[in-house]
Amino acid sequence: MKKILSILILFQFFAFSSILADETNFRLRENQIEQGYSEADIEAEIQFGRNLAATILAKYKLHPNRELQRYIATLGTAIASQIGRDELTYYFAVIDVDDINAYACPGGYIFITKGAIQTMANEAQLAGVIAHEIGHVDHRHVVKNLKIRAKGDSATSGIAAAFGGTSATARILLDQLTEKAFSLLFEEGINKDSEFEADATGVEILTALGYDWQSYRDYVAGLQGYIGQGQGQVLNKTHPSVSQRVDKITQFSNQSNFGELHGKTNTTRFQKYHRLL
Amino acid sequence: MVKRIPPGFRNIIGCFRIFLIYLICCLLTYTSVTADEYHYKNVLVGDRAATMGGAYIGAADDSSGSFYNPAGIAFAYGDSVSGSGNAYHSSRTTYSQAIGADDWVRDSTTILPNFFGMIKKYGDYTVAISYIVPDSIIEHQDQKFNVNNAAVNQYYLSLHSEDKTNMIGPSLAYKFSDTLSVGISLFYSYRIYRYQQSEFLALPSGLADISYNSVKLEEYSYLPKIGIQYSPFEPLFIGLTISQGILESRTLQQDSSKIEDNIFTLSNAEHSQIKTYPTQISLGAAFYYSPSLLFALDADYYATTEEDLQNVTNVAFGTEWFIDATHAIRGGIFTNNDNRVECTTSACNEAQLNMNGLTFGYSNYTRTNSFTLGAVYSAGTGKADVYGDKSAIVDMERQSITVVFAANYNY
Repeated sequence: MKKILSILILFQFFAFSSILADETNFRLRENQIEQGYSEADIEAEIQFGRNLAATILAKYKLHPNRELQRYIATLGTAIASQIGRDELTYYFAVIDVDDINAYACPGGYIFITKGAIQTMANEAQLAGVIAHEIGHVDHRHVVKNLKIRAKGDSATSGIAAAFGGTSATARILLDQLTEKAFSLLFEEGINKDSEFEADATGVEILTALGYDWQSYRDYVAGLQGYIGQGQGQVLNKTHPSVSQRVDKITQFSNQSNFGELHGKTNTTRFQKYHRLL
Repeated sequence: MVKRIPPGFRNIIGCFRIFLIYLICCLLTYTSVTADEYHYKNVLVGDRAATMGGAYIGAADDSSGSFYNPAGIAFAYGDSVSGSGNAYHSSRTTYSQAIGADDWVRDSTTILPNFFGMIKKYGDYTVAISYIVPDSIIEHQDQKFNVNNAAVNQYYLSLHSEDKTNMIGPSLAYKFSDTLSVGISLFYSYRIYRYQQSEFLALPSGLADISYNSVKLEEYSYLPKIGIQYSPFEPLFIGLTISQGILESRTLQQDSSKIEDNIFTLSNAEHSQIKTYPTQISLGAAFYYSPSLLFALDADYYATTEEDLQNVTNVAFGTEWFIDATHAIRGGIFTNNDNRVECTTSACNEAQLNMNGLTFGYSNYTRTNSFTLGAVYSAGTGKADVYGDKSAIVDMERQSITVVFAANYNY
């Protein structure tokens, strides 16, 4: 009897504990859970993002068509105003690159390549990509990965000091960190989980704004064909496989009961700007 | 003025003296092979792991995981560099009434950097390289035994010994999902054992017997270790590892010289030896009760094929409690059993000493760094055949304390 009772107590203990534990990151210890971000941390993020954006623009030209840029900026700002972080001002731009990709710098600096827009069929797909990138910023994926804080406990995490510093050491430090962020965006990728999280955020935002989330899933699914043709090489390196992403998007949509929900695609408006590429 | 000894008594004293010298020679033989390769948990490695009693197979999610369970490093929180900067290790082994009425006490004190590891993550792959000192003994001893009988006045023993194992190697882990990972470590191990002993036997006649012995053992081996971690349900992670040491070479060099009855003798020998390492199978569970509380339980089984050794099971239990995001305390208990058979007058492989240990530690965390201060205490009692001929099975005890100081840097 005692043995049965002991087993039952143990079972209850396990069951209770599984409720208490965080669903996805129950291995995280108290010291690894992100604490709140101060105003100085956010300022450091913005400054770092601006520095990274400048580095990107030094390497890649902006697309010359102002009308197209205004369209992307307006659409992006509209989406960010609904779901973006209040403390940030988001900036959106098209860079004149044929490869298919989009990049989110800390602080709200978001770039989409010409090649990515060329492969899109409607505004829902564009909105999905923008929402995906806003998701990266909202979840601070790069910030967490590089541990960007205003006042860190180590040389590499004290961004404010690096920005304020005039010494060669501070400059080298900032350059190294920017280089690492550049590598994350263009070579290594952040990590699979972050990409899945950004996709889920993207789908959620699209649905909330009345866009057709299935168009975004179709766009992601269609990337495989372009990758096969040699386009989207950076995307292929820095993101999970297309099939994994499509599976996760479908799984998330089903869990969220989006099901067969169809929204707007704004194809006509999109085509007008698509021709400007 | 020298007292005259009755002629009939001279033979008795002569025999006693020969016997005593024989015992000391036996003692010498005993000590020359007494490096502690008979216990598997002499120095606990890492910071969290060491202060949790070494119960780390189910967790193992930092660089010391490469030693405990390479699959665990797949769940490490970012890239890191960590090391046990200085670990002060001290042990005292006492053999009760080993020489006459005197206890024979052997002390070991060493300060060692016993762990250094780096982790780098590449998507779902994690690579690590680590340097580990799983065992280190340094003894300096000068002890005088006041025998004071008709055969021998005093016996001086001076010894110095070092026994250190160094391991270095890479690890690779792959995370299949948030609940499953596998990993492998391949360590190259180098063990160096040096033993030097000088003895001085003061005789009533005013003469003395002097001897010097030296032993050097070098051992090169490989230690592959494979591991898996799996979470059957959310707060629980189970880990399993299998490892098998493979000997590359083992060379023993012995030199001895002595002056006995004014006769000088010198001998030396060098030969290769064969050694079979035990197969280690370890099973552990880590129960992540909450972000601030962790329980871990390990069982290590060592299966040996050596004739004079036995299979051993060690268990360890550890817990970790984060008071807040900055302060954490840990505690643990563990066993460190002897792989030799029970020592009796009918069968004894030098000694048998089973030990139990207690650990405690405190860690302070900042955003990127942490340091840990802790202590590992272990003690045990057993029996020893100090002369190697089972003529005197004496009680022995050992106490050991290690002060752990470790630092970790996440980047």
